[in-house]
Amino acid sequence: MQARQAHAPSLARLSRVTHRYGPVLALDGLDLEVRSGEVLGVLGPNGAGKTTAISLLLGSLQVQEGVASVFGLAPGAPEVRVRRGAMLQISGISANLTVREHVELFRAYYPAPLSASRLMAMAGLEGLARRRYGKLSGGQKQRVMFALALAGDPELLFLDEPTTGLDVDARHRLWSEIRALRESGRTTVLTTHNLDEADALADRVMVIHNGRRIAEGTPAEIKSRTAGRLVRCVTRLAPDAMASLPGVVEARTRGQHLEALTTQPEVLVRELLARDEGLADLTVVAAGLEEAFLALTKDTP
Amino acid sequence: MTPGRRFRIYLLEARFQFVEVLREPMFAIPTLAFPLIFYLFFGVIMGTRGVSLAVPTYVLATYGVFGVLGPALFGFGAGLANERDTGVLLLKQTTPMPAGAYLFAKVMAALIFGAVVVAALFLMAAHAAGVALYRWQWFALAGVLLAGVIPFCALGLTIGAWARGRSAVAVVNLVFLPMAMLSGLWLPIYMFPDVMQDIALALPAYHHAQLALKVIAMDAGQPVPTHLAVLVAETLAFLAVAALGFRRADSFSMRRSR
Amino acid sequence: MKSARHLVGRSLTWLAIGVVVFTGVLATLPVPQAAEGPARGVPEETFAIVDVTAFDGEAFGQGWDVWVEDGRIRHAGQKLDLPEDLPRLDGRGHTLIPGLIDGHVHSFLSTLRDALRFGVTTVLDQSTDPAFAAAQRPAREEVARGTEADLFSAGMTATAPEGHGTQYGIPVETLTGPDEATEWVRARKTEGSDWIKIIYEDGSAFDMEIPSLDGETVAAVIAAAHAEGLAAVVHVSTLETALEAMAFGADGLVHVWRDEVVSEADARRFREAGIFVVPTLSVMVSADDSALAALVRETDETMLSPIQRQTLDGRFPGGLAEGGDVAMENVRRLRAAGVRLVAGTDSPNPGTGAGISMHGELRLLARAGMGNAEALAAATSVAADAFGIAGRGRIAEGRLADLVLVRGDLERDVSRSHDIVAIWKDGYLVDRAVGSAGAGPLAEIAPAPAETLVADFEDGFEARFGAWDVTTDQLTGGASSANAAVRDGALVVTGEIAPGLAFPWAGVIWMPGAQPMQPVDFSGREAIRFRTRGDGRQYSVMLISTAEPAGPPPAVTFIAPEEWTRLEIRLEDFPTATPEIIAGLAFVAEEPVGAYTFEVDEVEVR
Repeated sequence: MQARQAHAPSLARLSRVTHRYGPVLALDGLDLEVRSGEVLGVLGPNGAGKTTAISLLLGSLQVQEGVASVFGLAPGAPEVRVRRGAMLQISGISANLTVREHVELFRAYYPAPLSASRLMAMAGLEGLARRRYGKLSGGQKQRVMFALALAGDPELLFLDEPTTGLDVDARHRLWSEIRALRESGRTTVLTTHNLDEADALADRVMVIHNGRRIAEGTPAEIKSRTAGRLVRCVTRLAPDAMASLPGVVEARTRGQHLEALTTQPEVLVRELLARDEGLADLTVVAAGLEEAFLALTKDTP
Repeated sequence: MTPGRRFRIYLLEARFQFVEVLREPMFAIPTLAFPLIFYLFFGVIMGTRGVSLAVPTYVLATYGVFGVLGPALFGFGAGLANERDTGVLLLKQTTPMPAGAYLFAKVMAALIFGAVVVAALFLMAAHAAGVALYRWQWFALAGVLLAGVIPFCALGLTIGAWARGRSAVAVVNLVFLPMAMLSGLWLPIYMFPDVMQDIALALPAYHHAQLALKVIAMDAGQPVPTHLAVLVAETLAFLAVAALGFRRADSFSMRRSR
Repeated sequence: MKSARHLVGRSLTWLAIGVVVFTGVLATLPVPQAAEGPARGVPEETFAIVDVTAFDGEAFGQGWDVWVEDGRIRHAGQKLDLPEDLPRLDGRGHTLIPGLIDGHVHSFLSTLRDALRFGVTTVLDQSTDPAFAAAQRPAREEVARGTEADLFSAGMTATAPEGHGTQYGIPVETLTGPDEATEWVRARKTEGSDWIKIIYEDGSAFDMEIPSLDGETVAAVIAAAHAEGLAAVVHVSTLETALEAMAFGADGLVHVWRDEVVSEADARRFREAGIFVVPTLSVMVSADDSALAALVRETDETMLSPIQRQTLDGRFPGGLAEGGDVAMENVRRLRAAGVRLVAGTDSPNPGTGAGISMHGELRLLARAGMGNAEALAAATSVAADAFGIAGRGRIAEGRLADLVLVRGDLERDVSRSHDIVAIWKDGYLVDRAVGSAGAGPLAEIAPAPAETLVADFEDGFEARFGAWDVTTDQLTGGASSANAAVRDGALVVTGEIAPGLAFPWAGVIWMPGAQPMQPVDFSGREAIRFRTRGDGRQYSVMLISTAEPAGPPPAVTFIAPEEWTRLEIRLEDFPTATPEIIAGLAFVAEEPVGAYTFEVDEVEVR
């Protein structure tokens, strides 16, 4: 599978793209490639430039510097639009139309749309067809957006934070739909700051920070690139005190536990044991994607 | 895109745009009811006190303009600003929907609402106020009134391009009510002081109302080409200003939602 | 789940339904109860009106032919040698007059259109927005189809700051002293004023105080106008200011005054000074005066534009002060002294209407003692000469073919001037779009139905064909009355003959045509038969046949006895050449004055 992706043709790309909003530099010579058949996870903290990058690939922003192309064409070209679907972070569509009316309207935009019943099933909207959009819950609204993104049976799908506001069940259901899409040969670009989501879905992850690509690879590669270890324990020490210890990149509480990411686990464990005699339930594990992400973005100014 | 599919998109976009505003009581009730209530009061109750039918006939034309102005400004101006704010427009721009279909839908919705107001006003004028016009006058008056959708939608587009979300409603109200009054839609313009009459000459609703009044021979006597020229020039100016607004707003909207 | 195709179909269906309903609403909305467009078959541009009574601007001529070519009068006179193929209109029974000239109007909105629709082809405006006047000026220079009367105008008036004339919302450059006169007049000349009008009005005649120009300034403006080759007319409202204006050399006065009756000596001074007067009796006499009220009543309301209806319904705030009789007497005396009088209405002031009031002004001038020809001259040639408007107001070779064809004989009765059959402006027929209801003599003569029984009143007022209506001398300014009701299967007519006219009359009329006064051909019938009873006085059957020249209709008298009696009047007994052409049969009471009652039943034309 890794091999297949490496040689898969590129469906969309940004080359040396720089984008400014007035004095603010949003993208700084960014390179990004979407390969056919993959799920590409685009990660980055808020303000990293993810949405700007996606907007350029959707054609809703004009390229200022560099090159953007989708299917070898300009991102806004009509031929591109019929083969592409998008789910954006928007605050809502018309509250007064029913779910079915929204779906029918979007289906009409495309030459070979998926059937309305199929879309409703894929997005888990069965039984909500006659409900007005405004009367839906947040999760249901998000699923309508997903259905609209799929209306044209797209080859390339952009999902910008798709599971925001979904409960765990709905989230896992959407994940399985995205996996099914991938199995049927579609390509997905997934923007998220939920690292579990990227870990669970993405074939390849790209981390953007301050408008630049700071890492790229499979989730496993990204994780392995972080030398640090995660030290976890129940302690009376405050996270602040922990953060000031040598080698600690990041410290936080999670439930009863305190977690610290460190490049020098041995030194830290020794220090912890010395400071807190009541320390319990100590584990030391390899860092996950989240930790890798933290480490990566912390290193970069 | 095949012509058939393009037609289908235009038609359905218009259909759902209309259904959407129809289901919005905050829009539908005032735009439909205000001109009718005004007409009932000034045209039917006050206007038919004397023997003369001059007042009910005069205000039929001017409230007709008022009735067409409302949907165009609110549906187009406030509606567009709102959809830019929520991101609907952004989403639709990523689809194959032609931009023309979106504008067409908004114009059509305003046109249909305008037609409903015009028909209701005509029926009220004819059956409650006793207004009788020649057949050609009924048709010409309806035609002139509905044609007003074009300059007024252009004005709405300008407001939608520059104002954002909720403030757009305020801006529309600031344009709508003073323009209606200063253009002589409520009271004949010659009852105003000179300064206000001069202002009217700059307003599209004034020129549109004069064209409507021309049909029933109650206009102020300026030539038709003058009114048409002003309306065409202002429509073009509105479109140009709207285009500027969209260009400016492009980067602005992205910066906000980035 | 509905498919998109289904949605498209449904949308189109709804759209189609919407369009059909909208069009349906427009197609079923009420229209004025009148025929649209000009009378059918009336020629224009190049044609002749033959065998018509014509008023050439000064005098009447019988049996005239008037030949119009390319919008101008080519020849006019008795028995012209006309080309064979020239379209012609039989003018018998009608009077042709020059397009009327209203010597005192104010123009805005639809007034020029309204004026033309009532036969006023030229208006002399005594205070206009100069921009409006400028916009109208080209139209009067060209011979072309138009919808408006031609406008000649004083433009802006000379008045004091806050003076009369500044209150109408039209920008006015005011004057404060004689030294400004020359510059002011030159500015008017540049703007295109056709003459100069000066307001000399301090409001004293109306118990008001209005700032006015002083006499010195009025004199200076008059002198400046003359120096620039323009005539100067003055608005006055008192005898004193009228005499002063005359002394200053004014060419005309645009109102008569109501404060004081002019002495015969002063009237002679006006004559000797050569000054003309536009009395504007329409605004001097109350609009509720019977002559004017009758005129409005006789006019089909659908002929009036909304503006006309509005201004006719209007009244001066507080009503007119006393003095209508004084104004009338002044006109009488000025006329007797030989002062030139020009007809003008000051419309559309409250109580007047553009165009229509000109016919009221003619009636008032006649009441003030002017003969029929004299009143018409005041409204045509005298007006044109007084204001130096060349080429108008006369039917003569080379003049513009501004013509009005009126039903009946104006030489006998100028008060019929409003009964207009056709108007030509520059030779083009005027579309009296806010149409005339009467089909009139130009309508086809309809064949008579086979039935001989006209009405038996068994089922009410309805006739078997045609229609019944009451008719009284109120049509010509009288005060007689008539009521008609069906009782016990007969038509009962009651009313009162009132003094006032030479020939008062009142009763009922039966009109056989599909339209009012449409002539019907009863050739082959011999007599009118009907049953009658009544109070024993004498009544008349009048036969109105529009193929007849105008004048009192031919009539045969009968007595309505106490007992029901069947009467038969042979058609040949009516003193007319064409008794078989019937537009109306009137059963009326005439002299002596007093109440009357009679009944009619089983009317037949057999």
